[in-house]
Amino acid sequence: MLSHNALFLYHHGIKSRKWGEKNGPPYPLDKSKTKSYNKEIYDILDHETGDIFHLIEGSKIQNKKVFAGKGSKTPLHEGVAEGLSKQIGGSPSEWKHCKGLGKIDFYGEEREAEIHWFEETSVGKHKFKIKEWLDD
Amino acid sequence: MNVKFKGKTEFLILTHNKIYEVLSIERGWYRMVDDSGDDYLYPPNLFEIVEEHKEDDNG
Repeated sequence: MLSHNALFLYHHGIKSRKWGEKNGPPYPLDKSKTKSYNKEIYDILDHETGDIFHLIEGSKIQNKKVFAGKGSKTPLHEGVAEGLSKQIGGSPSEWKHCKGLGKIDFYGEEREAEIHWFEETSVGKHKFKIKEWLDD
Repeated sequence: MNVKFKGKTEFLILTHNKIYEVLSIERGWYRMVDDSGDDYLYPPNLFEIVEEHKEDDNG
């Protein structure tokens, strides 16, 4: 579907996707193996249309911070870590809730947004969401 | 305004046919408290409106 941008689709175990393994993409995660791929591109999935909102090509998430879970003083909400581990994998104690700033390509319009996601080292980043628009 | 999610249930995101209260509309997207317990922005095409706020009658 998006072969041209395949390198920029950094899926992390989205079950509905038929490519790759259950909890990981088929393409190498080791960036040293893809010299030209020195960008971190994440997709935000529109569950209704299947459209994927990409970060603007060449951009990446800035100012990443962990605000709950591992590495933070704030625990995840009850049941979250266990649910993520059950659905995706990884250890409940290792999951973290992260945020950062990114530029979204929204149907050709560039929008700057604060993005949140859940992350665990062994399974990667999942469940990206938009917290707020930053360029109002 | 209350809206019903038309899409597929996704853990910690949204539940199919569940009704959510729209807290605000920002650049056309709905802000609501999703299944994670925190509020986020979602595109309106994922929802159908089930209840709109009625104007308060004065007097």
